[in-house]
Amino acid sequence: MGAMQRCAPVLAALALWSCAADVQAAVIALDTVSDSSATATLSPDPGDVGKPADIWMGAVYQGTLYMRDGSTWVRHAGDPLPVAIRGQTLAAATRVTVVEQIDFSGLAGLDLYVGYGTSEQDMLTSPGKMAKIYTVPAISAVDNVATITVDAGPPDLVPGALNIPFVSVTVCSPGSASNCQTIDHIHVDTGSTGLRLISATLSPSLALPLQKNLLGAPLAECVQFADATLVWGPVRLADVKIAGEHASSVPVQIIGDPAFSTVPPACSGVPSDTVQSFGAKGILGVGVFREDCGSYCAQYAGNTQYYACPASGCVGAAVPLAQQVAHPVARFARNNNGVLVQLPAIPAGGAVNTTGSLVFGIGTQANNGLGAAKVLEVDPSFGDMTTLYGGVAYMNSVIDSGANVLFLPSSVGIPTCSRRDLVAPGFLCPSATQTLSVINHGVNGVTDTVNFAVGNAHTLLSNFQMTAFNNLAAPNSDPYGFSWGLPFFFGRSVFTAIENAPTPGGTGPYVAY
Amino acid sequence: MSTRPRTIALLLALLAVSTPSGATLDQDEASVETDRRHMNARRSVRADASYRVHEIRLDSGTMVREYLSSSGRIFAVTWHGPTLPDLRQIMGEAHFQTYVNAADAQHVPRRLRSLRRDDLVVHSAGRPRAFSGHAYVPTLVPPGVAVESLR
Repeated sequence: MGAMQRCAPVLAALALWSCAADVQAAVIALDTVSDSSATATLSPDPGDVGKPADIWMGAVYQGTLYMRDGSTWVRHAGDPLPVAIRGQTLAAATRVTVVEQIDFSGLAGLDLYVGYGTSEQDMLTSPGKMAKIYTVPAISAVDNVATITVDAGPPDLVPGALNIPFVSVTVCSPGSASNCQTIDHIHVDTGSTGLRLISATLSPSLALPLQKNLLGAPLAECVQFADATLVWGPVRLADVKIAGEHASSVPVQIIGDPAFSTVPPACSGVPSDTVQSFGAKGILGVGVFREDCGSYCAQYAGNTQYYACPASGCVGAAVPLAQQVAHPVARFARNNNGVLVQLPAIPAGGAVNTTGSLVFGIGTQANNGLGAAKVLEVDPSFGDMTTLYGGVAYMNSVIDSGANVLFLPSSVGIPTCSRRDLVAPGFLCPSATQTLSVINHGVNGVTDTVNFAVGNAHTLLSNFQMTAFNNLAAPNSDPYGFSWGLPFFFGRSVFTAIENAPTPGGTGPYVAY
Repeated sequence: MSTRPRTIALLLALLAVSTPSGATLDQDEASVETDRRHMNARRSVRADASYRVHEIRLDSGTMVREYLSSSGRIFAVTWHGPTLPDLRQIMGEAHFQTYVNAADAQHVPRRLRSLRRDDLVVHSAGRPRAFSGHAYVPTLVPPGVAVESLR
């Protein structure tokens, strides 16, 4: 009532509704807030404008009152209440800083109060002169974990998948929340970059737009793999969602797109454009590079990887980095500096199937901290590092979830299975399980000893139900490298940091485990 | 007036570059130049006691080496670098077809394919931005050459 009586003479013409709504009482409200700052705006009683007043600021957290005393916060220890600002002349809208340079975002449930008055009594008893301006919300649920499944692969795949980690990925028409499709059995590959999807698995209604060059010609890509297979198809744009993470308009490759049926002659190899021939419904490259090709393809039209495809046919094209098939995780709004692959330990005889996690971000959440992991930086051009074995440095070594076996140089001296072995042709077949010790050596000089086992592949693979093995190996054709494929990942947490991305363990590219 | 002859010359030049005219592995020294032009690359030669090596460096940085015995036949090709060379071109159509169609090849999806036969050995491994491999004809390898360690 006091407020109404005071305002009535001031705004007589509006008194009927404005004072009835009591808007002329003091109003104190939150102005801005961040993780480590908060400001408030005081709109005093008109009768208080132009007059000096004291300003109080309080915080209640878990039942304890804290007061701002000048520039510092103190625990309340009895009356009188400490004052934050003394003798402030009040404007019609007075903006005050309540919290500065204190990260209080983790103090869920903390209430912030601001009040003003000529005295403590005035502040506490006059309507509107003291208000709760903000409650720190519970930490918003971050869902940065996708389930990895190691199993026999997509239905009807013959033979079934072996040591392939799969996740589900949702793709949406750019900007659409409803025109989406979730695709299972996408191969998680820390040895390549970019999302590639088999066209036949996609609903035509997705209608993902083509990535086009400045002349309006659609771009297409030929990716050749070391096994002489190739994937050919256009670059299209999709919103990519995995777990609770999301990236908008990511260039992805569509493999075997019927609108791009002619493979250019320079794209040599064996096309792998069906789920059966590819062994998965797609591949999610989450390696150390931001783009699948990089500056070479931005520089040379004759790169034999990217093509511009006007109506007259496809010709080699230089493609700017921003238009190349991209690392989806690097395009996330958060948790975008790398990935963590966690797979459980499995028995030496293998597992029928197993599940683990693909966690996004490194050191960005409670669930992706590096902990005691050793950070081994990799070569910024090739993504490789050195493995030391028997006093020899194998400089082309990699940690690569996209390889389903350990590749070992012939110098380890383990015999291969018989060429005529129908179960495990070309794998390694020691007469008994053999254990080896090597030292991985990052380009930053950090080292880590790895003890590992190589089982008899014929014996292991004779158990046809098994899809996961931690000791399956094959000879490497590169005599200068070890390749730490999926067997290495079982029982470990393996981080892959993206090039030039800051992390608590330093700037990528690196691997850590 | 001179437009037409120039156009024809240009077309001929394009044809010369874009038409793969044959194999390398198992072929003679002249085919190295065919490969070089096909891959639009730089080339240099060095010699060893029992063989000569032609090095073809692709724009990507990938190094292709073609090894010639004293009889002038290419007995091995190797590659190493961020992109795969055109394997069909450097192995030759026949060897390439043998390689990709062999039922007895070892195959690791997207990472490795190797074939070991009496008349052809091929190992190819790696991942995007880091490939390596070699192909050779065992019967053509000069005595004393440790062909598996060539690169």
